[in-house]
Amino acid sequence: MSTTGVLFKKDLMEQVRSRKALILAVVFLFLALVSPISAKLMPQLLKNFVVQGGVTISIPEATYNDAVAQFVKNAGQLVVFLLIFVVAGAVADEKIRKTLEMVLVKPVSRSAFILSKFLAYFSTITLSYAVSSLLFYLYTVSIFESFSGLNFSIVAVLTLIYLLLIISVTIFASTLSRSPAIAGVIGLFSSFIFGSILGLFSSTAGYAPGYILAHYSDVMRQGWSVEFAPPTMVSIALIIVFVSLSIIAFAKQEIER
Amino acid sequence: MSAIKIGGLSKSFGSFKAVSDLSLEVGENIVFGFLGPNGAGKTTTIRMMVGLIKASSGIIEVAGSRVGFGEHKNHNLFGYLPEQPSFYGWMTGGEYLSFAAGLFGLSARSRANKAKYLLGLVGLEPARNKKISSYSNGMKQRLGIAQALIGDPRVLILDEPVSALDPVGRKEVLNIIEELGKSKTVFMSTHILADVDRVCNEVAIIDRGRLVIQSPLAKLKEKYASPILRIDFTGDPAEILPGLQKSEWARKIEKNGNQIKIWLKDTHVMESNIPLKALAGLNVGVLNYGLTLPETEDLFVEMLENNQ
Repeated sequence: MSTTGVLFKKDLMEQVRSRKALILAVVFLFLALVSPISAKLMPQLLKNFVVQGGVTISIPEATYNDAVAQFVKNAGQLVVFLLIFVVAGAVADEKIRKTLEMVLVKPVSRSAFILSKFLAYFSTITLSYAVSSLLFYLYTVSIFESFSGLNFSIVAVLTLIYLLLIISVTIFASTLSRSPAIAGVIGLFSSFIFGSILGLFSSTAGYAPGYILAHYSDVMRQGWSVEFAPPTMVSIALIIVFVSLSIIAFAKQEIER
Repeated sequence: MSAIKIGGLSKSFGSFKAVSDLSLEVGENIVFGFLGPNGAGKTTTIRMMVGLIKASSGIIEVAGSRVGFGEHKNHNLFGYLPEQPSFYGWMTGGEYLSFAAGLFGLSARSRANKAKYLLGLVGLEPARNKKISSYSNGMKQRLGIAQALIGDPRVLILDEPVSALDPVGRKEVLNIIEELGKSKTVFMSTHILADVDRVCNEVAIIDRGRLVIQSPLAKLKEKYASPILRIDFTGDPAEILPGLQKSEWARKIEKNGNQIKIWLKDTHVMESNIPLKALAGLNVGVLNYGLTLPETEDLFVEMLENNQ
């Protein structure tokens, strides 16, 4: 097994033993189950409000579209926040605990050390998210009606790419900083920039990584469209840039006591 | 061939020079003591040797190969134990060694065998399946030595390996180091000079980042340490000290309770019984009187004083 493989296995083991994997599983289970339930129950809750004076409010029946809307909204906000919280210490914690110096004095390249962090978090998040998306789809179909699995898969994959981008920025910040809190703040700030701010300007909106969060309903209606190619390519390119920058920055870092 | 060769090594942090033009050569299969007071630059030198920090200038070679910042391919040539090693506390001792062995490219079977052998060597076999977070400091230090040996290196670099240990732990770890020195080069920094006396064959003393001296320990004692006269009195000798301090034959006097140590000008002083004659005129009871072997601590203090 290569050194990256050994480190990757260790990082996965650490996620399990430190219960980070459990937190991720709970977060994604929440995403899968709460999104359709809240979509289903919301109209019924609203109906319970009795409006006085003979005025009636017509509340349309909930559909699978409402569940998908909840899914995308939760993934883009609450899940992003929790993921940042989980990964912010990826490298910074090792610096604080001084565990990395015992590893870096072995025949281990610094790029392997950083790469294994990205691979381990990308793998757990992708796997948990895939299971979550499948559960969401099955559960939503069971309580609403059947809808295009292909279109939902496209939405899910594009949302995952956005999540991985925010994770990349957070791990990059964790590589630069000795503080998980600072890494977390930078991660949150990036989600604000990529998820909201870039979408406000007409010149950048079509390339913004958060484009899918605002236009998921188009994919649900008509499937993949070429308009999703630029933000997808930009997101993937940015992930590669942040992984590369992390490797470059870490290679130059002196490990102080 | 030298096991370690350091040439013109310097390290600055801003305007502060932590290590300045340090050159050393360490032979094979010896325990080499790297001594110096706190802040002398010992840890900085070691961290440059193992590639954790970057040297401002100079070269470092281990077993004939260049090592240093950014070089990881030659990291199989040495094993390193930092002062107060930090492990993944969620791993067991056996898991950690197996993980470390994996970083050297060993197969799963070899890893398990190696881990078992090294745990036995450092006396941790019974704690093999216990989480490292439950280990005592002494156990962590022993595990640290085991992980440093995992790649079967020719050189071991140990930073203050026993400073955080209790006397029992210290004795155990020093025994291991002494044994390892028979087949490997052990380069250890320390400020506990009694340990140097016990395990080191050769020493280098650094102060304020500069090399003061490098020599085999026995030669150093023979060459530099003045004869020391130790006298134990029946009472407090405070009253007679000023008189003794004025004596031409006493270079330095240290008082510790009812005992004084006098650094003599030369061996002729004893041969002529000069101190005894001086004591005879004083009204003091003497319990013990005799030359003592210079300890590394005495030598160390003297070398640093000369360096001032």
